Amino acid sequence: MGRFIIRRIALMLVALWVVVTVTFFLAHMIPGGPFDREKPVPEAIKKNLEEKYHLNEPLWKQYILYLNDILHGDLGPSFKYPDRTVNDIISESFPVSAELGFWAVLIATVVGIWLGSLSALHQGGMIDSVSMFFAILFISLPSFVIAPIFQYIFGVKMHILPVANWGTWKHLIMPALSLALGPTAVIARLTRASMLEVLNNDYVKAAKARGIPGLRVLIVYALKNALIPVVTYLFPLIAAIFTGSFVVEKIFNIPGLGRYYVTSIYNRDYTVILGVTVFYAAFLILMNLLADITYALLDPRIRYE
Amino acid sequence: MKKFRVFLTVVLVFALIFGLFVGCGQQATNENQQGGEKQEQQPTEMVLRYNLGTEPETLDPAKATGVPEMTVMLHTFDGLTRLDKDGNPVPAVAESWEVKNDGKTYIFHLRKDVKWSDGQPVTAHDFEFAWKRALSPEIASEYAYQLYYLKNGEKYNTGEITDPNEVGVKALDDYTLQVDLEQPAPYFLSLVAFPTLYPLPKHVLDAHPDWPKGIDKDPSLYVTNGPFLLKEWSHHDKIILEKNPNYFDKDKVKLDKLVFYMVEDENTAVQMFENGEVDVIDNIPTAQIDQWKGKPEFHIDPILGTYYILVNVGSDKTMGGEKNPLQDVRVRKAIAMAINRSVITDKILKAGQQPAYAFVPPGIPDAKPGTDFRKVGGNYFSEDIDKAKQLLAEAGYPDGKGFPKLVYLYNTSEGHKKIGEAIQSMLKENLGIEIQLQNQEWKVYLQSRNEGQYDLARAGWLGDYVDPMTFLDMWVSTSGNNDTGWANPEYDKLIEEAKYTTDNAKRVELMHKAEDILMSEMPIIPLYFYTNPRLVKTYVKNYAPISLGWIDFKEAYIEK
Repeated sequence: MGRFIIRRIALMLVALWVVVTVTFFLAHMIPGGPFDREKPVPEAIKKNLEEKYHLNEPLWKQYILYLNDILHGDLGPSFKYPDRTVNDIISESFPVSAELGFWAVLIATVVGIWLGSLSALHQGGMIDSVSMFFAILFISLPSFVIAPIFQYIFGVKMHILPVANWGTWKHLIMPALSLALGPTAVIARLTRASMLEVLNNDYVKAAKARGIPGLRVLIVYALKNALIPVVTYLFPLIAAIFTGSFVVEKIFNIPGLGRYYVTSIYNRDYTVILGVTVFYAAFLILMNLLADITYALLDPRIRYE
Repeated sequence: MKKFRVFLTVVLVFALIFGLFVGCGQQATNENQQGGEKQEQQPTEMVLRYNLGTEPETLDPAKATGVPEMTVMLHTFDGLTRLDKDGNPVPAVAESWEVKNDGKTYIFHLRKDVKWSDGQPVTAHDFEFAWKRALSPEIASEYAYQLYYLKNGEKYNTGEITDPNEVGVKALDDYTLQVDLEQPAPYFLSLVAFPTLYPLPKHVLDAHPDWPKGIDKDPSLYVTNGPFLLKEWSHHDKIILEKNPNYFDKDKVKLDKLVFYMVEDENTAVQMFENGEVDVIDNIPTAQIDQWKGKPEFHIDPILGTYYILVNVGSDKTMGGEKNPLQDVRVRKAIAMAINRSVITDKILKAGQQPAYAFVPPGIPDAKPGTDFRKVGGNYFSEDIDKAKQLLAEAGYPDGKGFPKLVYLYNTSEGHKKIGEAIQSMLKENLGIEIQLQNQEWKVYLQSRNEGQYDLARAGWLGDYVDPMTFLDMWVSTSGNNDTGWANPEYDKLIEEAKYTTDNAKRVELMHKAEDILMSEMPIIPLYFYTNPRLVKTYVKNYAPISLGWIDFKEAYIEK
C-alpha cells in the first residue's frame, strides 16, 4: 500500500505539471489581456504595466519564470487586485469555501445514506416512494433556482435568516442546504440501488442463515460494500464542493474561492487562473487517491501492489 | 430490519447534535464578526449600509480606476478641493488659491489644521509626492493621464524625462503648492478633487514602499485624511469605515460608521434591501424596476453618460466583405433617424433615461452660470422615418435594396441584447436593412472594437469630470478612445484650440462648434443619456449623488 501511495503521488506531480502547462498556454491564447479597459490605457502606460508584469517578454520565457516561481511556492501577484498575491487570495478564500463545503457534504452524506438505506430496506413502501420523488426533484432543480427561493422564504418573508453574506451560523444554513440538496438526492439514490443489489447477494443471505444478528449483517456485511459506489461519487464531490461553488457563493455573496474560477478568466488575470486551476487539480487528484484507499479499506477483494 | 432503522436514526441524530455543538462553538467566535445585518449596535451609533457592488481592485489612489474604488476613497480622503452634490469643486485641504499666467499656473494655499489619521499634518509636500508618484513609470498607473495636464507630466510618465523635479508641481513651503500646467484647464479645480490627485502620507510610504499592501490585515496602515477611516476590509465581503475624530470638517459628518457591502448579484442586493439588511443600493435589475417605480425609496440620480452606437467609418469593407455603406454620411444619418428611442428608454430600460439627439449629456454647465451645455446646444436631429428613407434612397439603397448585411456587436449581457434586438427590428421595419447581432465576451469585444472588427458596435461613455471636453476630446483622430476610424482635421483643430483657450465663453463656443461637426458627420449614433436609479431607504437623508457615478455620504444621516 505504501509503494502504491508513493507512486500515485509521483504521478500526481506529473499530472499537475501538465495542468500548469496546458492552462498557461491556453490562458494566454484567449484574445484580450488583463489591462484592456473600456477607456483604453494610453500606449505608454500600457507599456509600463506590461514591463512590470513581464507581459512583454516572449511567452516561453514567461512560462519558465512562472514555473520557477511556482516551484518556490510563489503563485505570483494578481493582475486585477495588484495589492494581493494569489497565495493570499487562496489562503483567505479557501477556508471559507471549505467550511461551507464541509457542512454541505456532511448533510448530503448522512441524510443521503440514511434515506437511501431506509428506502432499500422498505422497497416499494411509503418512505421509498416519497424519498425517491424528492430525490429526482432535487437532482433536477439547479442551485440558482433553489437558492433565491430560500432567500425569499426564509429571509424576506419570514425574516428568520439573513438573505446573504457570511459570518455567523445563520449565514451558513441556506447556502449549505442549497449546496447539499442535489448531492443528497444523488447519494440517496446511489445508496438505495447499491444496497438493494448487495442485500440480494448470497453472502448476505448466508450470514443471516448462520444466525448473525440482523443489525450486524446490515452494517458490516451489507452497508460496507454498498458504499463503494457512493465513495466513487463522494470524493470528487468533496473536491468540487470544498473548492467553492461559483453559483451559490455568488448568490449568497460568500467570500470563498468559487468566484475566482470564472472571474479570473473574465479578467484575464493569468496568475489567478493558473493558481486556482492548479489548486483545484491538486485537490481533486488527492481526493481520488483517498477514494482508492477507501475502496481498499471497504472491500477486502481490492488490494494494491 | 427495525433495529437497522433505529441504528440509522440514531446516527443521524448524533450527527445533527454534533453539528449543533460545533456550530455553537463557531457562533461564539463569529459573534464579534457580525457587522450589522440588522441594526444591532448601541442605540446612539449611526450606521449606514451601502452596497458597493463589487470588491475594490485596490485602494491606492494612484492606481484605482473604477467607481467602487473611487467611492471608498472619496470617504477616506480629501483632495485640494472636494465636489459638492452638484459636482462643483469647493475648498477642502486647500482653503484658497490663485490662478496666474493665463490659467497655466495655480498657487494653492493649504489649511493648517488638516491631519493624517496618525496625527501628522497634511502638507504641500504630501501632494507633490503623491502626484509625482502617480506619474512615475514604476507605479504604472492607468489613470496617470489625469496628471498629463501638469507641465512635463506626460513626458515623465513615458520616460522621455527621467527627473521628476521637472514635473510642474512643487511645494513652495509646507502649506503652499504651486502647479504649472501644459495648457489652461478651466476644470482643473474639479480635477484636483479626483482620487488620482489625492495627497498621500509621504512619511508612511517612505517606511512602507509597498503601500497599500497589507492594509487588509492592518487597517491602521491605511493612513488617510478624510471624513472616515478604514476600520476593516474583508475581501469580497465588506469594508467598514468609522468617523475620523480628527477630521477638520468633522462637525458636518453625522454618521458614526459606514458599511460597504460587496454583493455582486443584483437580485440578492434587492432581497437584502427588502429584508432591511442594506440601506442604499445602485443597479436595480431591470425586471424589478416596475415594482419599485413610484415608491419613495426609488430615486433616479443623475449621471453623466451617453449610450451610443459606434460606426465603423474607417473600414472600406463590411464584416461580410462587401462595400461599406456606412462610409456615406447619409446612411449614418438615416440609421440615426430611423431608431425609435422611446421604445428603448420606456419599454426596455424604464429608469427615466432620456433619448439622445446629441452626444454631450445634460448636467454640464454652459458658459453663463445657470445654463446647461446640452440645453444651449439643443438637439441635432429628430426621429423621422420618411426623411431617413429618403436619405437612404439618395445614398443608393432605396427601401434597403442592395444594402449589405451589417454586424451589430455587443458585449454579452441581457440588457444590451434586448436593445440590439429592438434596433434590429426597427431598422428592418423602417428602412428595410438587415442587421446581424453578434455578442462577444467583454474583453474580446473590447479588442474587436479596437481593431475595427465590427460594422456597428454598442458603446457607453461616462464622463471623467464635469465638462464637455471629457465627451468631446475622445473623437480627435489621435485618440485611443476613437474606435470609429473617423478623422476630421477641422474637429481636431477646434478641440486643440478649445484646450488652449482661457476665455471660458470662447472655449464653450468652440466646443459647441466641435459637437456641430461631430453630429453632422455622425461617426457615432447617440441613443440615450444614462440615469443612475437607486433604492434608498426613506430614513437615509442628505446623501450627495455625484454625477460622475459616485455617491457621497459625508454629510448624510439617518432619521428614524
